[in-house]
Amino acid sequence: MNAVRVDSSAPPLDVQRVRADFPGLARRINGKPLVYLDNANTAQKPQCVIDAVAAYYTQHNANVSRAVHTLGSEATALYEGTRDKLAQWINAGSREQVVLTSGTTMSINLVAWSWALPRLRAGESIVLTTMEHHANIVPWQLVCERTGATIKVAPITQTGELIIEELFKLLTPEVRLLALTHVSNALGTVNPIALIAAEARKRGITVLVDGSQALPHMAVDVQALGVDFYAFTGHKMFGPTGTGVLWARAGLLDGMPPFLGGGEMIRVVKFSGSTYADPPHRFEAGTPNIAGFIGLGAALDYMQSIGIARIAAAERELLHYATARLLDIPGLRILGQAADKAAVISFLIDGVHAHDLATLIDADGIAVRSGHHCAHPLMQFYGVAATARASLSFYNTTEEVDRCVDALERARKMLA
Amino acid sequence: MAVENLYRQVVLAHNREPKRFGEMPQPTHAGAGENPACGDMLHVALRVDDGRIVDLRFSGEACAVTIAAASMLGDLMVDAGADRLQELRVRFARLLLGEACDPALGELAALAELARHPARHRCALLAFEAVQAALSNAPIDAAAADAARAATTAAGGDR
Repeated sequence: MNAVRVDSSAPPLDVQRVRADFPGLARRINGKPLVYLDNANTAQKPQCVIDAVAAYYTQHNANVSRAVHTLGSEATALYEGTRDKLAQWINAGSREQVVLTSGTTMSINLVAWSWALPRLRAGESIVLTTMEHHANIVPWQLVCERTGATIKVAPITQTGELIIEELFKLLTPEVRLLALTHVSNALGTVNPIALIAAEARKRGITVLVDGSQALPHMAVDVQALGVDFYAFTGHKMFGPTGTGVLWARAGLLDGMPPFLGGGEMIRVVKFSGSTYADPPHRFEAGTPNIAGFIGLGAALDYMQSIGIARIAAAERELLHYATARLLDIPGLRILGQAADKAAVISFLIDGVHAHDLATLIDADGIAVRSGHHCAHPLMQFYGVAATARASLSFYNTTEEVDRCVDALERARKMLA
Repeated sequence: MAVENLYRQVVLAHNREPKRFGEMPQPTHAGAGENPACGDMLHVALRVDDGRIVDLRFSGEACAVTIAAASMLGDLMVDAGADRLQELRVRFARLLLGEACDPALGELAALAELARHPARHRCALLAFEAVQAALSNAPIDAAAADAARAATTAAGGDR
């Protein structure tokens, strides 16, 4: 399954026009125009998102769901309005299946503590893949330490693709959960989630998908994917930091105890014992990131106005262009050459450390990430400590890719 | 351009041909430093006599800043001990904060531009961390190591 749906009838993107929507892109770094190629880390924010956050603080500032005054109603309507937009965006089924969290990490931890911890037993296991982000490894290790369950790891090929038949072999009767990423943050690989989830469900295994890197690049229909839990983050899809979502298949949240206790998540509190609100509020203790979610609502409106198909098409073009240009650099090797790939390019240059590359090209205003990308096991698989990673968004241009390539060439000549 | 002040010729030269890199046959102490930001690991082996480093060897793959800093620090640590390392560490910290160049830092002073690259401080400090770890670690029992090696090779070893 290729999750990137491209409507070829859509007119192409006017990149200069969309760039004008992002004030951050006008920055100059070290006297040069910024070339922002660290989108997989966090995306730049359009002015409409910044304005929505500012409008909340200047016009509607109040707490949500607990004030009867006008401002409280306005804030609640705006905040809950984002839940509706999110539900529609991912085809959630109902708004009650959309838990608002601080990000993917919290979404996964919520499942670990409220779903996995009460269920898993010694002798049972969780299947992960080699390409997982630490946020989809460590919560499960914490669960295993407490339950005696174990982790099994599905292997990948040198090109960075899951070996599907090996993954299926691991889905044995003692497996309770399969947790895997939709799109690899370090390699760009798009995993065939619908195919994998269908097999896991057939074997009675619950499936959690880390969708952090998928949402910014492609249309995601969680029901069509056939998964049980889908976690993602708002700041990579042009929204504010500290916003995230946990979607759960209908009915799953009902059987889960609260994760964090506090205000907002209760029905009745007595010292003899409290009763809890229904999902999703059961999992939303305390005052949430109100401004952040209002901003995320604006980000969804913005993506809607551009069109996810046009975003995907623009990024696919950029990925092809950047891949070809980068491979012209002598000694450059790309990690991750999956057939289905998002616009993420991890690379190494012979004899040059990624940190030195990133520092040297930053002098030319170019922002890429260097390091292990929170994926130690993947780096161990490839036998490298660190890579440089250029991750592209629809607002990037071929001229920016050219500037990056030129800067990398200069850095290579200096160090190699 | 500021970045060329960091990647100066002396730094690039130390990176290309780092001093005291390689294996040491019979170290008395060993340690390592790790940079969690990139996963780089720098190992160091020391031969220590009466609290003074007689010889040292670094190993590992790391960025130019880490390699150059290790190569430069090695020069300053031969015939010196833990007190010297501590003193250099304090002087180097001042350099990272942008204070005036300190001749006591020798070639390490060439890394002064790091004051403008806080994200890279850890790279340069890795060598200090590794040597500190090696000096803090319990000495390697050379006699026991020799005995173990002798037991697994033919009688009448090569000593």
